[in-house]
Parts: sequence; structure tokens; C-alpha cells
Amino acid sequence: MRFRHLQHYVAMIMVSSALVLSTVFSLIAYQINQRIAEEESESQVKDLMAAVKNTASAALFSANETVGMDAINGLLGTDVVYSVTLEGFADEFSQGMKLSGVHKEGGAPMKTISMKLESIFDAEQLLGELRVAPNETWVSQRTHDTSIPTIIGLIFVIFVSCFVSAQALKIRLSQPLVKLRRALKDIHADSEERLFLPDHLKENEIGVLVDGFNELLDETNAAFKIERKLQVEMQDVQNNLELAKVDAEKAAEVKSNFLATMSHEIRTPLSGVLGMLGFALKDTSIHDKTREQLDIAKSNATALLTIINDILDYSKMEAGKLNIEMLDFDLYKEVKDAVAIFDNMAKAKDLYFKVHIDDDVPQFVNCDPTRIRQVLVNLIGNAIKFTTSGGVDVQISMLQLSKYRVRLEFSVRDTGIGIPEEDIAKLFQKFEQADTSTTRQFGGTGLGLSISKDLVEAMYGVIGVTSVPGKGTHFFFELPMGRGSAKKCQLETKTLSPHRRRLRILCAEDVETNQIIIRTMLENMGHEVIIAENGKAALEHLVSSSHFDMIFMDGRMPEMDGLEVSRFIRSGLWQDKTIQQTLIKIVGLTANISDEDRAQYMAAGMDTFLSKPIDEAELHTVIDCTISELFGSR
Amino acid sequence: MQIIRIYVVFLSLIIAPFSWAGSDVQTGAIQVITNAQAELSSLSRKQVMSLFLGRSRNFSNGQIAKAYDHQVDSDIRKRFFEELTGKAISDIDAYWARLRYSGRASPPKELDDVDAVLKEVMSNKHSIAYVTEQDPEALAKKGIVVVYTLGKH
Repeated sequence: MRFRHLQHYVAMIMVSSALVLSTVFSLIAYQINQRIAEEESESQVKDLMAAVKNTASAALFSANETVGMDAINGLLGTDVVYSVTLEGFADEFSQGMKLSGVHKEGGAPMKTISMKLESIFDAEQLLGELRVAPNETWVSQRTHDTSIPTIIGLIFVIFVSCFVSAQALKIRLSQPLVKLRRALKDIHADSEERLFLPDHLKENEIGVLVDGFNELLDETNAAFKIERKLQVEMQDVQNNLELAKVDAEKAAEVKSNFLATMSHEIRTPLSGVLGMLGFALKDTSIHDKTREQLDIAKSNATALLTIINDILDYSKMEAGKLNIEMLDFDLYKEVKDAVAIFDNMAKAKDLYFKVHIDDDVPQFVNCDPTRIRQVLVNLIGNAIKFTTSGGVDVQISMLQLSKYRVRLEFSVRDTGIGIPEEDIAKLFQKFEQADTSTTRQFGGTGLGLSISKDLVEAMYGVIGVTSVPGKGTHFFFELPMGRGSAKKCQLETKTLSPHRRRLRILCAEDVETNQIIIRTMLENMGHEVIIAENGKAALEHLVSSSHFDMIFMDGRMPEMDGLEVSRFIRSGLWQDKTIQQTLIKIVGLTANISDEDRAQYMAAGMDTFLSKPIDEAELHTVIDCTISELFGSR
Repeated sequence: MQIIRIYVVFLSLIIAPFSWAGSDVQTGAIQVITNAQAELSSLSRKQVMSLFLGRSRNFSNGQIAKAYDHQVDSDIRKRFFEELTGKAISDIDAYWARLRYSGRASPPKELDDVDAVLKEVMSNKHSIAYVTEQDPEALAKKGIVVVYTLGKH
């Protein structure tokens, strides 16, 4: 049997014990009472016999049967006697006699009690014998009568004792254990509480158990303390790591910003140099030698610009600000333009340079032509740079084609020095060249391949390389592209034709070189140019109510930047003066444009942008569009 | 009864000077006597007890015996039974009382005095009785035989 409570168990044991004890003691009591009753019957019988002894003796002495029967009936008159026999022995005076009587009910399984009967007048004269059998019925009745109260008393005492014992056990044992169990419920591994026992249980097994449990609690407490301490320490470490991470990110951002700023700062004067060189080379009156020097200067400046652009791209990528644009373009023309510059370089090094576009490659695609060109230029530049004999093969082939998509492989294979296998892995890492001696021998920032990889991946492509040192290197990249239409491309590729109208254009530009460049470009296209030194000057021009057809606005200017100026123009009010031409077309001029910047500029009210250094064709297109807007299309 | 007692005492006082030496009731021997025709010479003490206490109703020779007693409160009776059984006279009385209680007791017939006893024994050959010491010669003349003597020194 199973009990939920210890006290029920104790009660069950007690009840069982009480039952067993009651049974056993009842049987014993019955036995004892039977013995007592037997003895009692015997003694009563003996007493009775003693009482009739003289009568019986007299009866025998006088051989008087009537008297004998009187004595016998006297004995049978009590229930304790069952049967009586009075026997007189024969002698010289008497022939003897035998009398007997039996009680009307009962039985006599027990021994018969005999009594010798002597003569009353002579103790030595044996007259006969009196034999009496006690009555069993009397004995059992007597046993019964005495046993019932005894047994009832015994059972009562046993049950009361067991009940008292059970209560005592309940109070002394079960209840403390129940309390213990309740206390146990409230104690958890981390609590400072301890189990408590009453004094009388402290020394025994339960006490040992509770002590053991309390010790266990101490240990878990200690363990928890250690764990908490560890947690705190780990939290500290984590916090420190967070701080370090934030610091590192901040440092990286500072670095990127620094690189961006620096490249911008370098690019601005370099744009000036390139612009000026371009103008100088247009002059037909210069000597050939001067022209040659100017050419070298221009190509050096272009190389420098490439390096700076790389750094700028890198910093943009670091800052996650590099954006890929998707437009339809003529792949054949783009590749031709891109590789054109390498013809002369290859020739100068006495290398062959072949470009092959497979026939099945579609002409018009949708991707970012600028970035593709950048990667191609980078890879071809490297190939030519590291090749001393043989040449470079450029091949474009188609991998997959569907109605809207195409996957192309661009491959640049050279017969150059090759790359050791162990260096290939770090080839695409930033600032890595095969080894530092390479940098010394061939120059370069080491950023080119890293940027190429990032660009290809930004366009969802893959880039790879195989190389055999001494034999050559094979770079390739795969790009998924959309399929473009010829129509859109042709619109953008029209040649520079003279503008239909002469426009009056306001240019807000603080850097003098840039002022000269844009003025020259615009004047070459036949337009009237008014330069404003800064934003305030531009606004003053506008409020003086002179008419302009459009505005070119540098983003960064001292006093007031392009954004602020644009906002004032669009609001139509500046320093309590009204601006008439609130809807005038504003074209932003900026060095590096991120999506955020673009959104900011548009929000400030600019219409479009041109990136610096200014591309003449783009400038022409923008003006052409403006003329169409102002005066209607042709 | 009172008259009888007085009479006995008176008679005793008259007879005493003529009595045989030592025939005092208090100290003298007591003789158990039978009729000579009973043809008994002597009896044992046990036989005497049996005959006087109702155990035997016959003499040893088979003849019917009938015992005669003295008055219940007489000195001779007291002396006789006490000396014969060694028990107190009250025990003897109790014995008879027990037997009489059942209704079928037959104690010896009580006679008035020694003379009555002698007279009875003289005339009845079945009789047996006891008397204070008499002269055996005189008794023999009356046809009485002394069969047992009690208290003879």
C-alpha cells in the first residue's frame, strides 16, 4: 500500500499492530482465564468435597445409602460439579457400596478429583473414596464470563496505546517532517534560508539528513555566488568589448571619413590641374615639345586621379556608401572605350593586346557600366603592368542567356610573372600585393583587386584567379546582367552638337580653378556665365532681379553651402528680399555623392547633379535638357 | 427428666456404699456386656465401635446384635464414647445428627439407667450394652457376660 502522508502510514502500522496485539493478547487472556476457571472449579470442588466429607464418611461408616445419596445430591446441587461417585470398600463389617450421580447438564473431560474417606473415629481406618468430576460447562461459562471484560479491556488499552503512540509519532515526527517539506518547497538553490528541525530530531538520522541538505545548500549558495560573480565579470567584459567595438567602429569611421576628405581635398586641385592641362592641350599654338610635356603631365595627373579614386572607392566601401546604378548601355562600345587607353601602353612595352567579344554576347545590357569599366581597367592595367613579354588577352564570353537575363564572363589573361600559389589567397585583401617588393618594383596602392572584388560582389558576381608563376595569370569575373535595349542607349550617346540657345548661367563656386574650368567649358559651348564666389553672392545676384536661365551650385562653400542657398531660392525669400526665380533649375556640383547626400540635396530643392571633375558630355546633356525644358523640344 | 435425674443421683447415693470397689461413674472401668446366650467371650475395640456406632448389625458369629445406649446427657455415655473413639462426645452426636438428618438413622436405643440396661441384657440375647464396672461373678449369675472392658487399669 502507498500513502501520501507519513502519519497515515504510521496510523496504518499502529492499527495493524493493535489488531495483531489484540488477537494475540485476547487468546492469551482467554487461555489464562480458562486455567484460572479450571483451578477455581477444582478448588471449589475440593471445598465442596471437604464440606461433605464427614457426611460421606458417616454414610460409608454406617453403610447408609440414603445419607450417601444426600451427600452426592448436595454436591450435584452446584453447577461446578458434573459427576460424583461415592465408593465404600468392603471389610469385615461391611460388604461395601458404590453410589454415583451425574449433573443434569455439562460434561467432564477433565480429571476426576478423588478424596480418600477415613472413618471419623479412626483416622487409620479407610472406608472408601469420593470421586468428583468438575463440570466443563461451568468452566467454559466461567472462562467466557471472565474473559469478555478482560478482552474488552485489553483491546481498549491496546487501541488507546496505539492511538496515543500514533499521536505522539505524529506530533514528534510527522509534523516536523511536514513542516520540513513545506519549508523545503520555499527553499531554492539560491536562498539563504536553512531547514530547521526541533531539538529532539537533531541528533538522529533525520537530523543528519537535514544537516546534509543544509550543507548542500551552502555549497550551492557558494556556487551561485561564484556564478553571479562570473556573470558580473562577464558582463564587464562584454561591456568593455562593446565599448571597444564602438571605439573601433568610430575609429574606422574616422579613418574612412579622413580618407574621403583627403581624397576629396586632393581631387579638387587635381581636377583643376587636369582641366587646365586639357585647355592647354587644346591650344594649337604651343610647341610640340611643350605639348609632349603637357601630355606626360596629363597622363600622370590621370594616373594620380585613378589612385585617389581607388582610395575614395575603398573608403566608400568601408563606410558602406558605394552604390551601384543600373542602366542600359552598349557593352561593346563601353569595352572598346575602356580598353582604348591600353593600346598605347601595350605598344610602349612591346606587348600584344587583343580584345575579343564572342559573337553571342548581347550588345546591349543593363548593369553599371562605370563599375564594369573600373574592374576591367584595373585587371587590364595590372596585366600589362606585370607583363614584360608576350601580351594580354581580353575575352568576353556568354555563360547563360535568357529572355531578360544574361550571365557574362570577363577574362583577362596575361603572360606575366604570375603569382605564387601561397599569395593567391590574400590577393584580394586590402593593401595586399603579392609581396612588398612588388610594390617597390611596380608601384600601386594594392587596393585595386580588393576594390574590384567588392565591386563585382556588389553587382552579385564572382571574381577569381588562376596563375602559374613565370607563365602568366588569368583573372576572370562573372556578372549577371539584365538585357538592355538599344533605344535607350542611343539617346545617351548622341554627339556633342552646338546648343540651340545661348543661356545666361549663374555659377556658385568658391575654388578659383574650378571657376575657370566651368567658365571655360560653358563659354566654349557658347553660354554667358556669371560666377558667384559663394552662396551669399549667388543669392545677391538672384535678388538683384537679374534674370538667369539656370544655376550650377557647388555643394561645399564657405559662408553658406549649396543646400542652404537652394532652400532660400525655393522659399523665394532671403533677408527680407524676394527672389523672383524660385523655380529656376539648380544643378548641384559635388565631388562624391552618396544616396544620403542625394536625398538631402533633393530635399533642399536641387533638380539634378553633376559630379566633379565635370565631364564635358554630361554638362552638355544637362544644358541640352534645360534648353528643352525652357524652350520646348525641337 | 429433671425428676429422673434427681432420682438417679439419689439412687446412686444409696447404692454407692454397696457397690463393688471402684465402681465409680467418674473413674471406674466401663464394662461392655452381652447376654450369655450370645455366646461371645470377648470383642475387639473395633467390633465394639462398629456395633455401637451403627456400622455392624451382627455379632462376629453372625447373630443379630442390638446395641443399647444410656441417656444422651449421662456421664457414662460421655465417658464410654470418648474413651472408646478418642473423640469428643459432640463429634459422636454430630455423627448421629448427620445420619439422622437423612431420616434413615438407627442409633442405639437409650435406656434409663444401669439397672434398665442390665435388665434388658439379661432378657434379650441379641442385646449389647455397657455399664459401670460390676462384679463379673454377680453378672454371670444373671446370665450376662462381660465381653470388653474400657478404662480398666
